Amino acid sequence: VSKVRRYEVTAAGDFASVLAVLTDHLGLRLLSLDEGQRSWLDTPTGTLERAKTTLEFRLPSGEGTPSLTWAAEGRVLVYDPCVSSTPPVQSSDLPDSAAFLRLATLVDGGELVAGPTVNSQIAVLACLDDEEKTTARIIFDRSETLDGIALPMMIEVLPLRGYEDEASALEKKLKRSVAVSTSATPIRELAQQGASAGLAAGIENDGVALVPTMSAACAWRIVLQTLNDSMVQSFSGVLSGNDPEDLHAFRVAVRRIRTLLQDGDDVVDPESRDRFRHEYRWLGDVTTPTRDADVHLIEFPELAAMLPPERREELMSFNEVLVRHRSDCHTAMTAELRSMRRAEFGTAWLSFLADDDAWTGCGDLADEPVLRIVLRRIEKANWQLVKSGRKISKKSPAIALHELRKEGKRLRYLLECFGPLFDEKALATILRPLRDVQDVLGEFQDTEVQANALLELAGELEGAEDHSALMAIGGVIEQLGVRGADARASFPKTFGRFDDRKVQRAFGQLEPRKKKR
Amino acid sequence: MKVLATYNIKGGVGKTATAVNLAHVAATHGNRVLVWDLDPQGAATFYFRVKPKVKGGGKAIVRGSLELGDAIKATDFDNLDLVPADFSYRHLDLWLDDAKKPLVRIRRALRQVSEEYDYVFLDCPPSISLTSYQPFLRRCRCAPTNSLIVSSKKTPTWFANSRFLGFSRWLIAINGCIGGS
Repeated sequence: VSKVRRYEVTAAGDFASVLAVLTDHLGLRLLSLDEGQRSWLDTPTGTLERAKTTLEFRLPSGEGTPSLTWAAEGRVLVYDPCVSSTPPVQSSDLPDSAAFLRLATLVDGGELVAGPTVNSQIAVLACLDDEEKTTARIIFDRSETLDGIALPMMIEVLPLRGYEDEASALEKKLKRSVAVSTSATPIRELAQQGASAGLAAGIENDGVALVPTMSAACAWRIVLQTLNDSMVQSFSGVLSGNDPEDLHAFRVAVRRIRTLLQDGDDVVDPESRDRFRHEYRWLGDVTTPTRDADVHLIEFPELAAMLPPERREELMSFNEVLVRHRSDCHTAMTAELRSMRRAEFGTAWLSFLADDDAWTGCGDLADEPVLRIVLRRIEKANWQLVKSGRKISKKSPAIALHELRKEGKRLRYLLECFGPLFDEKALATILRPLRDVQDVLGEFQDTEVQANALLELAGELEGAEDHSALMAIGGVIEQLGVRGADARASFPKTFGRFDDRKVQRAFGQLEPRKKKR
Repeated sequence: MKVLATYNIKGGVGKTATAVNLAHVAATHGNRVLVWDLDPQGAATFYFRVKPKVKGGGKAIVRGSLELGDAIKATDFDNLDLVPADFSYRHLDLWLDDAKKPLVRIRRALRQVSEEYDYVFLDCPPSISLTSYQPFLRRCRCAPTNSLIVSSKKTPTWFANSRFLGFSRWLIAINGCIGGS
């Protein structure tokens, strides 16, 4: 089967001018000219990519119906010109035809997730012989990622079977007429790279440092840009799922962004603030099960080690349950992270950060000096934390401690995100006991969440009659209970160190002292 | 791979139109389809605007010196390929007659592409000859054909009708039975 040949257009000129050369100078016949959004679908584990095929969902921008094309090496295996307006999410959503049944078999009942998505202008042209018979098809493509990154214009030459010589002759003419360079990268991969580059580039903050006198809106924007960068750096690692630290870093960045948006009233454009708070909450939520599963796996050996040696062996089968559960959670999370929703929200978020107009006159306090605004918000967050913390007693329900942890996070993130604005000594005085409080509350919550999750997962052990494994899990849960109780018991003392006069006084010293001349 | 042949002893009854259109429908439903034009008039080849020319001629395919895959030409339609005919196909019977085991030659050639296609349509010439005889041998191990479509005009002439009935009786005689109507 003839293989597709790809060329990157290096010539100056726009889509229309290159297309004119192809039709007028090379005499190619224009078969179709479309504009719309293209997404490449695959299973979360990349089944189609491994099979060297692509499944493309195309949504025309004007009139017309969405289409679905399954292709291998540029050769269309099956094309359905009229499918549902939303991409198929599982094999049962595929059209009912022989080839799509083959595809469904390949996908094996698995989910389909949208990979890279681009906005494209695509011209399909035909090279005809003297009998008006097509000898090669040419696909001329100009695409840009949803982040607005323009991909190189590409020309793909698809020789038809039995017409390789004609296609070679066409390629020679093409090289003479249009400045092109050979490329081995299909447009789908370019789109993937472009999307990653778009994310990785984020929005550069040009190394602008935070200054106490700068406007609140400007400072908020700089911090959000920095957080966006760190979120993006870990994104590919989150998708690959090889290192749990990537997901942890990603979630921390997401939570910090949420805090900044939460405390960005009268500083950040209210409409955007509401939208992105909602979206970041969703992003946090979709990553939670995988993070919890990571924690189970990371901590399980340590917990198992607390059991007598003869009982550790009995936990082997349960470890498999944990691994499987983690894999399921990661698959579900990856599907969400590759969804259209995340792509659209990511694009809107980057546009928002890059749009100067969105940050001008966006709130009553937007032009106020940042230090004044941040100190006010920190004071409020601290007061709330102290007030809630003082109410915690031995009888307080677990939920009260969880809420307290959230308030502590809010304060901590405000202090850390705007750290460069503050007096270093005062900041260190506050952060040390605050982090201790957070650690204690974190330990309490984590042990409780873990114990509940392990209890639930224990039900998935194959052969419920395996009492020895269940007993061993019971032992682990007991250990978690002990750890949680210890954490809770240490709370009053730890919180007391934060609610100390010296630490509380440091809040008043956060404003950097003016240097004496 | 399923092989279907369109045949009628009489010419101009729509064999090629049937083969080509069924092939197109099958291809648009996502099946990989090959049309093998066995008729030296090359009507199916003409339908697809393919030049009626086979490298080395049909003789090379029959003799096995040319792989069937090398004679295949893609049509303008996705998943629909063609083995074109050329005028040399008028000698196909002679080549088959010269070859050893002439009745298995087409099947042997098709076996080379059996992994590549879901359906093969044989557009047979209007005669009873070694070429068109092969698709009829439904009960014979060497038959390449899964199904046989015998087309006739909607309002056949008395002569066409009598020839068709005669042909049907002959088919029953060589196969023992025949299904469909």
